[in-house]
Amino acid sequence: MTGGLNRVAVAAGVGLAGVMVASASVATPMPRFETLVARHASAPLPPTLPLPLSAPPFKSTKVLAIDTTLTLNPTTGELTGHADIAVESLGSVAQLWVLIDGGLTINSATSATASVTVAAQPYSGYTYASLSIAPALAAGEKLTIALSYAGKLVCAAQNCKVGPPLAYLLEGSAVPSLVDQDSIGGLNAWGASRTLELHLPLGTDAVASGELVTESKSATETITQWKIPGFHSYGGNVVMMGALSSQSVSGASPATSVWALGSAPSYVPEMGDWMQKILPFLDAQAGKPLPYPGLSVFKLPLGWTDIFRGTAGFGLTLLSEDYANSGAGYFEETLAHENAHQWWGVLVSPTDILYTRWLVEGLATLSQIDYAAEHQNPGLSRDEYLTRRYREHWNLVRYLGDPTLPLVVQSTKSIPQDPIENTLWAYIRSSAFLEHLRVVVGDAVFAQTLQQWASQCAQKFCDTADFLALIEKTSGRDFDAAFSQSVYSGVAIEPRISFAQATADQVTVTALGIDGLSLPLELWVELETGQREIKAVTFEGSTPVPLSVGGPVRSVRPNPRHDGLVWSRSSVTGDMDFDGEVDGIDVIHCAFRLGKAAAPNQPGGEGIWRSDLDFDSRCDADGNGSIDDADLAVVTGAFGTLMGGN
Amino acid sequence: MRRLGFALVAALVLACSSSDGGGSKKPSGGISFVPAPVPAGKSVTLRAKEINDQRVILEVVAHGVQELYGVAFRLKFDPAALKFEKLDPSSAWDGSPSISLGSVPEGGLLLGSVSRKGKANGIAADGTVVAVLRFEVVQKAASSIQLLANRSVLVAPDGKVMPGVSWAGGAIEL
Repeated sequence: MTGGLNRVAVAAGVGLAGVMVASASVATPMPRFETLVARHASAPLPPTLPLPLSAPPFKSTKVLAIDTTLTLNPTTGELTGHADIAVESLGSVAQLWVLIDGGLTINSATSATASVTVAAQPYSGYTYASLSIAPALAAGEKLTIALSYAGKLVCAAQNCKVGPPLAYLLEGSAVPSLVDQDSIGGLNAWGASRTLELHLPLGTDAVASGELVTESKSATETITQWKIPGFHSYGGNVVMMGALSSQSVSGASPATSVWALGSAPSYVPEMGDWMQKILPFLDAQAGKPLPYPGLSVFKLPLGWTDIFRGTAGFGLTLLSEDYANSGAGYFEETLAHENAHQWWGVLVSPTDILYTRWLVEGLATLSQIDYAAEHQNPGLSRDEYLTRRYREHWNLVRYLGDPTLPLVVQSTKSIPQDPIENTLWAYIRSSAFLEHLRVVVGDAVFAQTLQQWASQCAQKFCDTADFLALIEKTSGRDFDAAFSQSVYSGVAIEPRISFAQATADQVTVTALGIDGLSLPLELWVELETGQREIKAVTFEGSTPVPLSVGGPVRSVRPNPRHDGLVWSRSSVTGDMDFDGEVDGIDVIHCAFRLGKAAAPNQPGGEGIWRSDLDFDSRCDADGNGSIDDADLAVVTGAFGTLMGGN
Repeated sequence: MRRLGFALVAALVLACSSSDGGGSKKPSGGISFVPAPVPAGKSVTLRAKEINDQRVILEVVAHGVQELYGVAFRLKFDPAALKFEKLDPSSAWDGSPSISLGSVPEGGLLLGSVSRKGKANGIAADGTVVAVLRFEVVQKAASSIQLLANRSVLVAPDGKVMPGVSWAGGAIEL
């Protein structure tokens, strides 16, 4: 048995590593840069990206239900637990493995229909136990294993925290995580329904993901029962415990409450006000309201960035007040991000989550920025605001990231383990690609696409290929090449745009530097009259594209909302405004940016990474991430360049 | 009578050399610059600083601007009559690094620019000279000098182009 355990431990290593850091790390707000830098510089990294608790493919075992009863003292961590785990074999199943907190001991594992033998060992802060089943389950056979365990939570794997004032549980701590022989990190439990009966000492409040079914009190305990319906998602059990307070959000649908530690109520009223805007925003984006009887929003305390910065589970959104450090506005939009995960992550849970985050974190980041554009920046047009925000994405990926990394990788080993690289991959470049797609298909078609994504894929099996098929259907356009280039593989797209006008009614536009690529763009053609003509084009390498125009053309440039993904420049050195000439407008554009840098943490920088959103990579002639006199000299040296090479 | 004549000449010279009114300047038997009227609101105009048979020196004047970070302009002139020599920033830009450029990449089209560099406050510019343009007179001839509104901008200290700016030039007259 020991030998077998070791063999499986090796075989399941990738999956286990994922489970170790699973729950708190999917559907999360974008990390703050200081946090990443600290980890980047010193801390050892987990061997793989966080993985969800449950996912297809259900090659061998489908978990039907995990029904857990816990009696817990959240101050001391003393716990007794019982879990009934119902499974169905899809092939032949002779063993399952469970992960629980390393301070817990499995006392028994039994089944009414089979013999179950337990063998446990410590594993990276967990108790890792194999459950050998005899006789092995044949295809179609079902089995319920009754698992009893007890001990004192130590939370070494950071899947829980005990002690005052606030304790939490994620799966893999008091609620077991499951791993089967497929070595997919316990993902085979995706789709299981979950119930949780929680016995806590009187005076301890609890908020958990799922629907609150009952709440009662005995002489010594508060007992709550929670239910998460079975559907395809990684929205597992999350439980917060302490002396809590809550405030209901007036007029919200679904009924929504903002929870916090009773001793730390700051921002609760503001979050309530924000939820009044965020919920209708999400409803409009998804095309329908959240299908929950209630939604709980939990404000995690200050100082929790490195403990548990936030996540989303079924009907529960959590976010640390640390996100207010960058200003209330960014706290608000990050709250929008985290609630967007109720759709993009919990209800619509892409099945290729092992290999990508673009339809979870990318979509939530897109939602976050959309929310900010709609509700927080009335002084700028939506186009201007989105341009400004996605410029940061260009700068971050250009100077800190790797544009060649596919958004959907072929192997989990290709997922960046460096936390900065990972964030740029999961959040930044993913949302930049989505914004690029939106500009190409147009806002209305993209909005329709998201609504259909929500309606067709909520609580169902969908992945990147489904999204591709959907947006091709809604737009009537072929995006196979675009997805091949930027989703299933990766490339820095850096077209150098030029144009020539032979006749008053036609201009020919060329994109150099994209040989072998197919690049759909929305072009802005500015006439000498000041009028702007919008042209949808697809460049095939450097093949010129003729366009009909309404008169003499002054400039041709991609819609700057593409900039997050498509790093376009004029083909003329020093030309910043794409008119093919270098004049004072170009000089002042870069003179104003003298001294600016692309790196985060700039004085007066914006957002949680404090980036200087005025930094323009086009002025950074030597590509060193700062705009200095040498860069400015490149522009002034070209001053006076006119169309035709003067 | 002689004293009166001297006084009249002196008055005329004083009037012509005024640099705050935008009036024409006409040396005896020579050429003059007649500026277009100053438009209302934010505007940029030209006025003569010095004119003789060999040289025309014009001031680029900004009006109604609270804080100016930079000015970029294009100016059309008659290359048969004038030859651009140089652009100088005015003293209004003193005190902080600035950048000034003037170039004639093709006959009769002057590209000019004066601006601050990096993070800097702007200058108050209401009737303020922002640049000085120096031309050599190639041929004494009447001609137009025009700032091209659709290719000229004023930029505020936040880096944004100011809307609603009028641009006016003038004419060389014999």
